[in-house]
Amino acid sequence: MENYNYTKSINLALHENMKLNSRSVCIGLGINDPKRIFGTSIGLVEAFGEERCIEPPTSENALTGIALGLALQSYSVCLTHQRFDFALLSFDQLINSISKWSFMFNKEYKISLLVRLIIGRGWGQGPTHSQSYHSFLSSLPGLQIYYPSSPSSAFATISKGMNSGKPTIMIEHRWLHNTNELLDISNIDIDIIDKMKIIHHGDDITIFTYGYMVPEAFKASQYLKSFDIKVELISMDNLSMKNIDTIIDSISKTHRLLIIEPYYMQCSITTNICTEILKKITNTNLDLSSLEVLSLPFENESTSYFDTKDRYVTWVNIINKIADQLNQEIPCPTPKERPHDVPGDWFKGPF
Amino acid sequence: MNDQLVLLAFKKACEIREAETLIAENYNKGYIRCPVHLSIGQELVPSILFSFHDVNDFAISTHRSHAHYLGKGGSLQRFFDELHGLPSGCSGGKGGSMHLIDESVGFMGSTAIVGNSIPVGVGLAEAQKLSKSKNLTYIFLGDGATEEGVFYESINYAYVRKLPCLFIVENNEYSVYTPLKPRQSCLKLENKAKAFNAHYSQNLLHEYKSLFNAWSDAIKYVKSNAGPALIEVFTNRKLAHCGPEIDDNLGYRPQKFLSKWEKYNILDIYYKSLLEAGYSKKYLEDLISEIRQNCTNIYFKSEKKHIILRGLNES
Ligand SMILES: Cc1ncc(C[n+]2csc(CCOP(=O)(O)OP(=O)(O)O)c2C)c(N)n1
Ligand SMILES: [Mg+2]
Repeated sequence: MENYNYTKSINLALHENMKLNSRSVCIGLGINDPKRIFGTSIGLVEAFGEERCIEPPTSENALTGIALGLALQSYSVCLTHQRFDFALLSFDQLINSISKWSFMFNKEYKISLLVRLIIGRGWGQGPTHSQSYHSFLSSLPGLQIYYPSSPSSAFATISKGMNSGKPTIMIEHRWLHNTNELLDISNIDIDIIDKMKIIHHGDDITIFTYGYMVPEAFKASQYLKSFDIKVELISMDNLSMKNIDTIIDSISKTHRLLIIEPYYMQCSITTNICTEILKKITNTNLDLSSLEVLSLPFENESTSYFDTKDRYVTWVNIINKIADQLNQEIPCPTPKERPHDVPGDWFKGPF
Repeated sequence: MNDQLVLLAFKKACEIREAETLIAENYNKGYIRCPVHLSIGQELVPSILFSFHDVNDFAISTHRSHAHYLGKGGSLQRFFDELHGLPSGCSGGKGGSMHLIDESVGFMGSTAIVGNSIPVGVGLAEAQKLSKSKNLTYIFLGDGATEEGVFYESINYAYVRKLPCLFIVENNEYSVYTPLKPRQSCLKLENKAKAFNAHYSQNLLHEYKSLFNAWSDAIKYVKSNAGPALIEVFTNRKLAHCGPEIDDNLGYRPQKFLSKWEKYNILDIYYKSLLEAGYSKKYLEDLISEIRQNCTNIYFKSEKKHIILRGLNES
């Protein structure tokens, strides 16, 4: 077992898949530049050459169609965008071609095409560098969407996306890049990302969340444990998954639920999950009066430091919310002072 | 271009250099908390823009738009306020460095997604045509943006509809860290512009007089309902793509390229011309100090407002 951060595990997964399959390519703006897409593509071009590590023109929509063409000829492709916002230019190819190529020709093409979409947050990312329409993508038949919240699930998502034969989107939050996990990297079960995960066990209250909110919720769960409040924290990596039995089992035990949506609640995957819960609610004894939801305010993100102070949900907000839900006095933690718009001391800006 | 216009352009170029230098020098204090794409080295285009100043002309720009905003006559205080995230900023602090606007001078907005503002500029020009305005729209973009399909779609539309738009491409030969060669098959933008029947001219080494003349011709051309014009200006950004640092230690730009541009600092070029035109060294130095003092005062007003709003102690 060794300690790996999220960036490193993406990098190792890309190396491994490029090595195992000579018909695999990586494409993306910045992939071979000195910053190597936040360090995730380090060493690739040196190991596999410029023919297979392609530094492309700034032409997102064309690139996405090109990636499909390659995949149709049994190439495995990883296409990376440094921001989800930049990939919005490629939604024509993503939606009108990739998500339905097999369907509209009545064939079962193997399309091992992985699109990595990196989400920005903080340091004035503002209205056009912080968007995350993963819920919308998960509404499209024909695509599988993953939002890995840990280094191991990031590793698994890359491997799955480059080998599954199904077009895959990986949502990669910038603030997860520096999270760590003890791993046996040669022994990662890649199917783990297709199951709901119980990340923290407890029987007082259930939290359901995913993506970059998982570490925050975990931190809150641990804090609450020291006050004898036992949280059951459930998350998912696969946003296309419809089986919510793990949540149902948990709320049948806790009868209380806090849902945390990492982006807007409006038309989100979490509203879908609420509907699924409703369908099965009768046997759970869920106390609906205690049901709470945390999410971003439904408003475009401002660049200003002053406007974003309370935008994102933190572990402290989670603790306060749970104290409310349980009607208990819990001393509010006083975290080390850090500006709200940086993920940690490791972040040096400017992008 | 008469001497007075050269002096005007020089003053604008100095103001832009000062403003950008203040941002770079103070960035690491952490009061400007957003990505910034500085235009140090690229002051030629906005200074010529200023010498054709007309608030009824429109302009649209990109992520690297500080200089275009100032060259169009945008408010310096509201610009610095914007970078500091203040409600008194030109976009109320919401847009930050990459989303600037000052409609009072025809600067109609800059946006951060490469290519995003190009068709908006064409639309503004369409409105000018339909409303029989005598003005034009400037569309500022970089070499990288000419790789997006929307650039070709826009220039095509502009010709089909014979719109008064003037595309100004600042070709600094880089898109972030990537040089032109792996990005563009036909390195000549000239061929592409001409293929769309756009009136084309280029400027290779910061020759400001010939740029002024080409600009003046292009204005006449687009105002004659002949269709769009495109001016390609080769230039050089001195600092990193994003942020306040010099990053040439990374080695992504050949030394030869960098030393070539060392010789064509537009401020030095203007300065030398003005000396030759008879302005005294003392006059010019006083002018520079005055501009510096003015920019500095305005800058620190914004900084101070940020510090107070954050409840920080002034150091
Ligand atoms: C659609 C899109 N893709 C990628 C980016 C990231 N990006 C920001 S600026 C830039 C380079 C643009 O180069 P150029 O047009 O030459 O302008 P310059 O920065 O050189 O002024 C890129 C790729 C983006 N903002 N939008
Ligand atoms: Mg460029």
